Amino acid sequence: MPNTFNLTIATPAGWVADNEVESLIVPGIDGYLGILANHAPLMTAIDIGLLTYRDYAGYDHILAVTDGFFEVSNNKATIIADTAEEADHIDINRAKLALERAQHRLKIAVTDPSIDVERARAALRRAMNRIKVAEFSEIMDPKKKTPSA
Amino acid sequence: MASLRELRQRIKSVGGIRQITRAMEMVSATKLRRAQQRIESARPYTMKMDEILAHLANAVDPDMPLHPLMEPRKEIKKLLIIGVASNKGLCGSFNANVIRKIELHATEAKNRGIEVSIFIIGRKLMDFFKRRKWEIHPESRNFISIDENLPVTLLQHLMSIITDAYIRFEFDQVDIIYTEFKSAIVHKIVIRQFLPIIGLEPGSDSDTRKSSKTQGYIFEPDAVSLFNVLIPKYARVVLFRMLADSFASEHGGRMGAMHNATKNAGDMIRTLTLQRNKARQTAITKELAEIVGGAEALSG
Repeated sequence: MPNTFNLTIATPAGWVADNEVESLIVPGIDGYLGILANHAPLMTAIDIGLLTYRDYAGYDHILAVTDGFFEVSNNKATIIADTAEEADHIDINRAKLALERAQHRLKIAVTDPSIDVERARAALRRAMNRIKVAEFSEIMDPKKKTPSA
Repeated sequence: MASLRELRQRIKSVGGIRQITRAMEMVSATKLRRAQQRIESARPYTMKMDEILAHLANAVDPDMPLHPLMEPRKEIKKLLIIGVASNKGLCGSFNANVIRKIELHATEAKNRGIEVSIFIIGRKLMDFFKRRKWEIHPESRNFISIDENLPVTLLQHLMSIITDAYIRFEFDQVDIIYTEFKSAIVHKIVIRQFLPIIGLEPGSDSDTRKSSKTQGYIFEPDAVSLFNVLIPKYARVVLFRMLADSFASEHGGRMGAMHNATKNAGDMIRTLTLQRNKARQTAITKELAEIVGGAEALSG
């Protein structure tokens, strides 16, 4: 039995995870961070990115997260994020449409000053992240992975 | 007294109204349940955010400059009032109460020489205020009727419009007037200061907690910038809470109003039925008397 710690992920739409986990990788604002049990207390902001964790049974979970916060202390990791979606819940077609829309908006933003470039850019990053996470999980296929001994 | 035919017609139409109000009551009950669920599912997020904020506020040096959204202005010259109510009527005094509170608050501020602008959410409020003398915030029209599901992107957009205006010194204070949801029947109109944010000042907790809780935290990149990242998110959560509460109260209010309407329709049908029976009986008696009278006349 490896060392585990508690991970909770909360979004405005509810709990996404409340689990004993073995390891965790979060997209911190200054780069990805790997967390194991008994990590020193740490706090950081979370960027748009890919979050993975391995639960106590050895299964890998892959999620797409957008803007949030991460805290770990006393073997408890807490994540709050605007969105956090399990890879197989991502609607890849919707993400692709969103990507196209954002690209289009950025293209016409050169001539149309009414477009909020910041927002379009953020939408573009979110869509790209979703697509990336969905594709990554297809390669990984965590469901087929056997629990490690 | 009304004629028998008129009475029958009225009974029928009141019965029709009762059916509609009863259906509306049930629809509102479902919507209320969904609105409550929405508040409920956001609770873990808000709870965790409060925890993290408390930890951070303890770690931040109280002497460092405050986040612009927390900085109080020396003199309040311009006030923004955000009024939150509903798009539809038939919900009892829900809209009227909010309207009254806004007018009161705005008038009071004006009497103290403060310029007032109103940001309106809810079509019913707009219907009222567009013919009044108050200044309405121009961005308001994009948010008159908002999605009840309160998606994050929408809240973010709304929040950034308001916070940006505050940071640009267009306003010195922002208050929100909304209906707080206590239970399906108990609602309270609340005025809450939205900006500058109060109650989160660093070091406001006791010193003992400060030393025990936050020592030893690693901050990436550092406590102050984390705190500043979290503040706008906190403001967004506050905004979410108020809008979600308002929606829940609206459905609760409508449910109550429709419940009463259904009950009143029932009472009305009862009295009308009594009147109808009396009228019918009178007609029968009259007819009988006429027959008897006629027979009497013939035999006599």
